[in-house]
Amino acid sequence: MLKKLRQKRISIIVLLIVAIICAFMLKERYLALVLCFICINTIAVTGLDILFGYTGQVSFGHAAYYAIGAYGSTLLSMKAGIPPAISILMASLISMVLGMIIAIPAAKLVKHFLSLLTIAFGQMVYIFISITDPLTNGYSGIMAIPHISLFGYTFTSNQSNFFLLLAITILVLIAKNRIIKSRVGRAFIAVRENTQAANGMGINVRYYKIMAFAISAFLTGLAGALYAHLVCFISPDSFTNTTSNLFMTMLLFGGIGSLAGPVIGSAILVIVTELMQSFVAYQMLIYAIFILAVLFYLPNGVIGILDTFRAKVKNKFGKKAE
Amino acid sequence: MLKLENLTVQFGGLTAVNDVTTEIEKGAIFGLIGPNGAGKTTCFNLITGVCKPTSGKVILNGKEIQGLPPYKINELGIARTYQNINLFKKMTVIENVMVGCHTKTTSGLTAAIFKVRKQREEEKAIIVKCMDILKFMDLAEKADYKASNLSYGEQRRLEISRALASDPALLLLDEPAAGMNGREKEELTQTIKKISQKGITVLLVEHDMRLVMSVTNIICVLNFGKKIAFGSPESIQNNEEVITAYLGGGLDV
Repeated sequence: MLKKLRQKRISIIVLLIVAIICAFMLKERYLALVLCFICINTIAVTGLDILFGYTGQVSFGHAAYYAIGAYGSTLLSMKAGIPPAISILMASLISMVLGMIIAIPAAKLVKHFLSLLTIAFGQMVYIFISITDPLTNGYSGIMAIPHISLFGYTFTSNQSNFFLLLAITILVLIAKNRIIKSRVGRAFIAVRENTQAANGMGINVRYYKIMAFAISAFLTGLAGALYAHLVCFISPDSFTNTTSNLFMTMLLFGGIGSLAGPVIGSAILVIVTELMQSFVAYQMLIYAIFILAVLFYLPNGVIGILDTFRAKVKNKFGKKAE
Repeated sequence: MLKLENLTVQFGGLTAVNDVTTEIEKGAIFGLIGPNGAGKTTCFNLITGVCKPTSGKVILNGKEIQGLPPYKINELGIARTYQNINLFKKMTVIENVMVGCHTKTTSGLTAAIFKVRKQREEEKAIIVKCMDILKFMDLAEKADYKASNLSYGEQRRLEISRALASDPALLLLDEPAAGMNGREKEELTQTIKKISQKGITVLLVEHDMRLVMSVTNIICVLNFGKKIAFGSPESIQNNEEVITAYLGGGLDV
């Protein structure tokens, strides 16, 4: 009960901060775009978290689902004339189905074998979108992708897009929280913690691994589709291995297996990436530094530090208060 | 209720369980004992589907269950604990037990996302049920602890609680007293008796002979994968072959 209350309080604080930022950015177009990227990355990393953080299945190829979402929705909206709001959902579902197909062999694999399979899948999708000229326009990419429009209103400005993305992100986080706190979420965590015991307690491990892949691919695909309709231009450059690594870095840095971890991780890394725009060549080096920082100093990510800090404060002042 | 018929399993050249036939009656506290490496845990693994028999049958209430995956066998009403503790360490005590309710609940993904009424009621019901089990196993005050923060004996009790949450008809305990002190063993004896009074059949593998003799009402002895004796605790204690198996044969001069 207490835990629930505390979580509610934290989410209210987070919302307040967001509201303050919103008020602040009303003047700043660029800042609004950065906030949009934070939202999109949060959704993608949340997807990765369900797979890696909660079910213990590693994936170094999540850019693949991001690409499938982006290209899927772009092609559906431009070539088939489906309104973006619907094509985004359709592309996410396509990504989900592909995630399930990958999961059928992947659910049997663990550790480095699974890493290799996911890396290979990421590369396959990247090569596919790069060389299928007639469909994806190859390395030149696709331009003039339509903006999202809902009920006759088109989200053209960065600011309006941010409000839309913020709403979607919050919905995604609520859905994630509900999944994790349910029978399905407990099954995920049980699979991560002890596959043998999970199987012995009546959990169909393979089924839940595939389900985790599906949810994960859906969310990352959704993020990719939103990205395409936000920046209106996609090319294979955005879906390389670097993107997969970026998602993993965000997740590890923010903290795996938590609600706020992906939010913190993507916020910090998006901001750092934006600040370092002039050093694009060193991008991977910067991510590597973040990963090293996680390995040596923050095994549980930023969220781990916050938890330790909170526990310390509680130990010091909690007793006096009682 | 559970019958093993000519159960045999070979790992390479080793016959771990060799032509074992026995029957566990409903309501019994059935002891499965034998020296190290006799094939007791392998028997457990065969019953719970962790490994498949080379030949022979496992029959639960007239239905053949050998070769089914473990999660299906749990659904059919067989729950187990492990020799080396297999808890979900980063989950809390009550969450561990709630995982045990998995097969007895049905809410899926969409029900969870939209928090439909049935799902909320189901969650409430299993929390009540799990707290009852924790009270029964004397772990209620530690419901919010991380499983890894429990003492060894408590972790063993938590494993039993988790198994009980799946409402088993047959409970398999694999060396539940290992690593327990005298008092904890005494409590465990009482707990096993109470579980049996609930109408749950218990199959017990244990090395502690005092515990086995005081709690079981029928015992099967294995040695090198073969069944060498079967009967009441008293008859086993005086069985020549069993004594030979445990203490070695006398020297013929």
